Amino acid sequence: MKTKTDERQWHRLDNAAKLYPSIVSPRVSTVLRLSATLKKDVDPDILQKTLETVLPKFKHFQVRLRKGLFWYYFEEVKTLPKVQEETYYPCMYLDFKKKDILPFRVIYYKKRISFEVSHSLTDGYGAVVFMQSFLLNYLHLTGDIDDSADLDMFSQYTDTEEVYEDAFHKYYNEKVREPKRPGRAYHLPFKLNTKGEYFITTGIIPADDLYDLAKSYNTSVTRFLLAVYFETFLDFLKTTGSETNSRNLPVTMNIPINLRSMFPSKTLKNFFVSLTPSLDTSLGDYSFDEILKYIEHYFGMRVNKKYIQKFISRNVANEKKWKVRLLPLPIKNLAIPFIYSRFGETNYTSSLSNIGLVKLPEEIGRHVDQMDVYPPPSVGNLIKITMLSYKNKTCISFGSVTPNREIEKIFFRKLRKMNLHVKIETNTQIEKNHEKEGN
Amino acid sequence: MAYCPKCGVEIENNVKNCPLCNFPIPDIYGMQEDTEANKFPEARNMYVKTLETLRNKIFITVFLLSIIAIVTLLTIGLIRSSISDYMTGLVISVMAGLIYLFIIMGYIPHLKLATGIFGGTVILQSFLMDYVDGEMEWSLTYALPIAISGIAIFLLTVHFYKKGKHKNHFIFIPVYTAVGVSILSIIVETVLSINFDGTLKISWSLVVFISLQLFAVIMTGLYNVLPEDMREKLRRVFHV
Repeated sequence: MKTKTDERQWHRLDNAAKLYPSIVSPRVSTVLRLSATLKKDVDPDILQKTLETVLPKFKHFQVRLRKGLFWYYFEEVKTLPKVQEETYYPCMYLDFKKKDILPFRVIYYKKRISFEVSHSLTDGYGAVVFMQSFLLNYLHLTGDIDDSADLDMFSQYTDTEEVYEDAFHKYYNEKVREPKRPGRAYHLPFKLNTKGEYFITTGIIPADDLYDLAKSYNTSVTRFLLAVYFETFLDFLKTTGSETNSRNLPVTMNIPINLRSMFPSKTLKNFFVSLTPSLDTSLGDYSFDEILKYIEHYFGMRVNKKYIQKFISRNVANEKKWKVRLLPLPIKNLAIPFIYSRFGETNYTSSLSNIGLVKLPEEIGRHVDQMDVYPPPSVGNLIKITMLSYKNKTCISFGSVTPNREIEKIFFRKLRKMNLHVKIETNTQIEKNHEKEGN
Repeated sequence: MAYCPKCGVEIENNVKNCPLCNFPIPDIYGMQEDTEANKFPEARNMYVKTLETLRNKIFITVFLLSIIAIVTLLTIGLIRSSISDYMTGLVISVMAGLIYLFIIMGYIPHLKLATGIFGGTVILQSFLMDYVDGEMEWSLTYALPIAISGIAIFLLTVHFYKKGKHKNHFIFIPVYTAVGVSILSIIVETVLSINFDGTLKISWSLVVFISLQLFAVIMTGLYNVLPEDMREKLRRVFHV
């Protein structure tokens, strides 16, 4: 919750966000991107005016990170950042520990408006809420939406203190036992790219066709794509033999689950837990149906209000410990990167995050052609997927810090074999040294 | 609409190679040079720019502090109407330090030229510091042979390292460094013993030589017998 001091208001970082400022580096930016592609070119002056109009309403975002003795915290500021034309790779390092640098940026390129925000401030859901309000105000200022439009249609997120609540704490039950942690997972044996480079490969698929295909397997789109993603890794392991996985480590995926539908909250802070389905590679080959069956059982057992409590409990219990709370921040800063690596990314092979279906009000939607979401770059998991559906397009974006495109290639070829139309958009070309032509 | 015949995916009309498999896409629509259709800008690397800015800030700060230090020393000397040998040595060291920093921070991109200037500065600094009291005592006999040997060994080590066909260069940096230092230690003791005793005696440098050579052999051997996933992990941990 937000607390008032004599001068400025400040608020605590939520349970999940507490880790992020300590692990930020040029390669691990913790910055995710949500983009909207309009039907005409973006006007930078109007975009700037929009930011100046919207940001003071979303006080939650108009903050700077400050150091306390024991934890970081956000302090509200009056700073109005400038919108920037896109010149760097997506999701790049945002040095929001510095004075006057807010933990997000608004950038534009041709028809695309992008909102890049640190995970320490919000999650994908919060980014979508901000983008919706931003688009509404932008289109109003450009004259594409008439004056009768309700510019306060997102006031439920601007006029309430609830956006500041740490919902993890709200639903924490100290009696609930923590779930078992996953063990070490298989990691891709690819080399890292040059620092500061981040490669995005987006596959655009007709949402209806994808939905119908998933339905034919009696499953949801996320679970279906997760099965395809698992199979991609298993196929990759088959082609590379046991050389890259001599210890038969399992292939484990990190799947963030938005908790707002299960645990009502209007928070704009992070509110998700990560489930970690895992396939034991020592058990031999898996058919697609076997993978799908496992995923169905896995999620069937865990995605319910009771079981998710265990994950909330695990996250909050550590933060509640006095010996953790009383450690000075500089010591936490030294320890957290190791903890994050050991108990976090070491135990996942990759991650798949589905924002779901983004619905824009009709008056906005008719001017927006496409929406995309990109995952934050990470060294622990070289390749990650984020996806969302908007209108009839499902955009599956791979964020990669390696020049190797093998996983993306196997994944999208699988979808093509299932007769789905895939259109690829990317910000890079493969380095000729790393890929043989047309394999 | 362009398609990759290998992957079956649709790609942008202005793409020359499939983004997934690198298969060359024929320019049927004559649009491959159309940069207006690009969905992304020609991205710049933010890290390189940040690093350059930081480097400049550090160098300018050190440069200004050094100038202040030199001016302060000279002013003190003028007030006392005499500049001691100690002060002269200090001024020479500060000026040489600036040149070293300039080279170490990568302002001279050519390695051989940078090493040459670095070595030249070392020799010049030792001459000047030796000559502060008006006599040349140690620079010609000790500093000169050691500095020349050090530079030669450094250049040879870099040369052989680059020539090596290893796929994972950086893993072998400690190995090559160990070999270079082990040879240099022999040369240093040779110079010292000839100048001190007039005879060639090798003792401690032999221990250093054998230890470092053993380290190099064990490191190379260990790396080559490790499974591929462990090697990849090492590459990731030690990447530079």
